[in-house]
Amino acid sequence: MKLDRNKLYAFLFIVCLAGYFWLYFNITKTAVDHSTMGVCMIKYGTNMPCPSCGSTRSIVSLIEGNFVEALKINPLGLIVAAIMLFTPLWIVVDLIRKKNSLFDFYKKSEGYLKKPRYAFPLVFLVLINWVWNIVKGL
Amino acid sequence: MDDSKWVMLSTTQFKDPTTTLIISILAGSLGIDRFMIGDTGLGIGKLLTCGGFGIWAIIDWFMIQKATREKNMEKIQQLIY
Repeated sequence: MKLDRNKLYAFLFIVCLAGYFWLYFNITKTAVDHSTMGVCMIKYGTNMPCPSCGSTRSIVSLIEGNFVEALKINPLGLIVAAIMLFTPLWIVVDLIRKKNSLFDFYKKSEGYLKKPRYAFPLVFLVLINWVWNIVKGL
Repeated sequence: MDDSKWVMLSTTQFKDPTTTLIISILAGSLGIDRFMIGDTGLGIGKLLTCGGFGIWAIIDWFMIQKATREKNMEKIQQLIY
């Protein structure tokens, strides 16, 4: 499956759409019983949270206006929120202008992030976040 | 294909589909299986979404071996042509 522009855009669009449905579902659930639905396989299997556990709660908090709270629950949630916000817009802009700017950006970023000097610090940050999640008892 | 290409081909590192399958089952939610075959973007996506709410992690259990072989094939084709 060679990842070309249209496949990438379709995939990203579907993922973002799923993300929005998930978010909507959890916002309405939080309004009822103040909790989100857990889907983490790692948490299910080992009782320990994974690095991105809490990102839904983080985004829900962000939507309610608590930026600091969102950051404290899980900073990755903010990254996900930014991606969910900008990706669909970028895809639409690219489709209208018949350009590949998002695809090119994706490919270039992949090239950068694979390099050890970017990969190692990022992996380290993810690991710290994971430890923080465990400490927080997410 | 001349001999110099053969030397390059025989020293190229390929990824073993069985290894990536095992990694996918054990740590698929972290995206490590995708990182291993060079799909950094998809790996990050899996990591950020907890294995795509678990669904993508399960799907990749079935897709990762084929994806590994395709990546290996790309490497071979880059060398030969």
